[in-house]
Amino acid sequence: MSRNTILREILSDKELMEKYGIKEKDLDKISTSPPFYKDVVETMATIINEKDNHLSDSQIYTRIKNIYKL
Amino acid sequence: MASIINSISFNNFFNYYGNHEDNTYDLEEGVNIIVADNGAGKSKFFNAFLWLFKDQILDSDDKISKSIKDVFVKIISDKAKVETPIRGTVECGIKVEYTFGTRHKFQIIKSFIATRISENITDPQSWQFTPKDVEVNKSDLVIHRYKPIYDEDEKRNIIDKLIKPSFRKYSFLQGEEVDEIIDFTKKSSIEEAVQNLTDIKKYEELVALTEYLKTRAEEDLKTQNKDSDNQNDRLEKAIEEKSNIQKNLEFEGKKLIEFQQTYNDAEHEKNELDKTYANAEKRKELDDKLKDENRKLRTVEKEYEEFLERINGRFYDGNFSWISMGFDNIVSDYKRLNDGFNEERYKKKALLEIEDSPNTYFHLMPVNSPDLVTLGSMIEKEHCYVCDRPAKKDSEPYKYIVKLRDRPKENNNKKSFVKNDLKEFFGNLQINAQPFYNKIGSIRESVNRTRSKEQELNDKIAKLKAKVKSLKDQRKDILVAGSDTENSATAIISQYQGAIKRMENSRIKIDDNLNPRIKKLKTDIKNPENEIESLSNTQNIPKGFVDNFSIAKDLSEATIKAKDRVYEKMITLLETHANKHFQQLISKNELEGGILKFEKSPSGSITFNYIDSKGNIVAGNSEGFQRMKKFSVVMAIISANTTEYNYPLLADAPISAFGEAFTEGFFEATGNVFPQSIILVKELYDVNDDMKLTKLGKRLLKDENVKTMYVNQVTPGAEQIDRVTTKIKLK
Repeated sequence: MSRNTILREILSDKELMEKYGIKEKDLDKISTSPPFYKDVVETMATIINEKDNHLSDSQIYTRIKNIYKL
Repeated sequence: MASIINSISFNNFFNYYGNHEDNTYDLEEGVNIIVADNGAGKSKFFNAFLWLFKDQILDSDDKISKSIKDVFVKIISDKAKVETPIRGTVECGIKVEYTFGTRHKFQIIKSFIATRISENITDPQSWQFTPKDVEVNKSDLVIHRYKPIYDEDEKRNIIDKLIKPSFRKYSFLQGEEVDEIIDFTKKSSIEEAVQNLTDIKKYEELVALTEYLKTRAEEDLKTQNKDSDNQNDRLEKAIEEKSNIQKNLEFEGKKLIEFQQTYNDAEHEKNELDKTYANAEKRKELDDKLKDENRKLRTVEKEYEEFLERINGRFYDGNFSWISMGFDNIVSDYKRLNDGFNEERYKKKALLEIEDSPNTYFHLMPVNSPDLVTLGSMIEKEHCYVCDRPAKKDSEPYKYIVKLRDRPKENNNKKSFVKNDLKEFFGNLQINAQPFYNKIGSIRESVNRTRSKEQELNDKIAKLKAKVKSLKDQRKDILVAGSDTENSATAIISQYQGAIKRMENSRIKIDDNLNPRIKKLKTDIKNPENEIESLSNTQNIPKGFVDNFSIAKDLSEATIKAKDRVYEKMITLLETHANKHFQQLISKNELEGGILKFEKSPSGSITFNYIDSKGNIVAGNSEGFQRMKKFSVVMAIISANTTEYNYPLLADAPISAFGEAFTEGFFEATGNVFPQSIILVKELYDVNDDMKLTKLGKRLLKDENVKTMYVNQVTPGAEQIDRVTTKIKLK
């Protein structure tokens, strides 16, 4: 199962879609590759990608913080 | 891209005597059937793959998988062993060729050399074992020329690519192994399948990771909370409240895990005991009946013994007088015989006396000889009137006349003729036997009554013995059929009921207590979380910290839900596929259509039942039916795979428990699920047929899904040492 499938499956949660304005028609276009048009997508894509790249949890958090420029 | 086995060949491997060229089976994509009677090389064929994948052989003597080096002598063809001279060598091996996709073909050869060092060919001490390196060759499908592979990892990869190790349990199986593959007594059984088929493990890892990221994001958010105004107090309170709820959640979560574990253990124990329990319950029922019947038998046997003892008494007991049976006419007979005897006796006595002294009884004179008076006169006158001659005193005629006169006097000297002591004895007997004699008339009836009673008791004993035997047989069948041991049936029942009670207690705790509480806490925690989120927005906290926390929190929740969704979807998919295959498998049977139902238990395991049209769980079907259900699930695991299943099915005697209708359904279904199936069966073998095939075998031979069919044969009547498997390719 590809990273994209996992990403889409997680982001397909109704509450999440509603809160972050993800449209049903856009769901299929969402990918773990940039460009990311929303932080929530980029965050989840980073989590999936970096997990696959065998980064540790804290290393992944550091990457996430970069998204929010922290 | 599927792996397709093109051929397998044997070199002096078990009964496959001769080199690879003599023992090559060419195989194709689709269904391949090797028909063989017992001992004609089915399991040996299968063992070749066991050697290929695991370096092991299933020892047919004890059904234990053993390392090649431990059983190498058994593997070598006996005929080849006999033909190997002392100090000579014999090579034994297998060779498999397979293609993967459209570009490459691989060849794998496993073999060893055995050197004979002494006479006894079956003794491992008589042979020296020299393993050879596994030989793996690779070829291009365009320019077919094998090139050897030297790298050990690559060799391993090529072997693994034939059937991926994690799928081997679904793709490489022997008979009853299918029961073990889908062992619903183990929670892991379906989960493992789901894990193989989905990325559920990845989702589980992501759940843990997003939870960690949420905690880190929350900690970072807290560090930004520096103000001390009213809103800050509220924020701190919200953080504290959330922290408290979080602690409660963690506490309840731990308890949930504990109870789920208890439920899972109890469920596992119950499932493990299912078969033995059913047996134990039946056994206990039988034991109780046996006890009862044995008690009855003992009572009747005792009654019979006493009855036999009483029979003896009836001979001499005046109330029965059996001793006198047949003596009905004895008195009259005796009287008649006695009279006759006496008459005869007297006759004989008379004759004897006459014989001894005939003159005493007979007058030696002519008829009308003189009487005593005349005789007296004749003596006095000294003259015989009979012959009219003188009879002078003391002369011979005179003495004779005197003798005649004195004749009666000699009769006093009587001689005993025969003893006559018994007259009194029989008389006494008659007197003493009088009470018996009176009963003689009713003896026959009494004996008949006794014989009826004896028959009745014997019938009772025979019936009870038959009943006891039948109960014992049933009990023995249970022990043979199940994996049941001689453990006390009561202990098993009590253990089973204990497991059910623990399951029920845990279920109540989980469903009625912990889950609602956790659900409430999860709802409750959203309030402080939302409060934290909104208050953070109104404070001078940098947006990035707020967004980081907010998104982390939402993603954590969404990941948990996604994981659950994926799992549920796969279970539903498996159920759909299993039912599709099940219907196909039973299509040739006259079975009432029911459905296979997968349901989640409180511990999270999947229960698997056959539900009839009225929604009732159907239990206790035949072994073949049970195996058919499991095959449906195996096939579902294969066909529900989101990518095409790429591995062949290698199955030895998978249909041994099926009826013919199931068997036909099986071949139809397997052809639709696996890209290639190699099925080793004996059920299609008919020794009396010219083609050695049953009718079903012949039907399958014409089936277009069946691409190759071989019939294996062994030298008829040959000793093991001369036994050689030969094959006939029918298709």
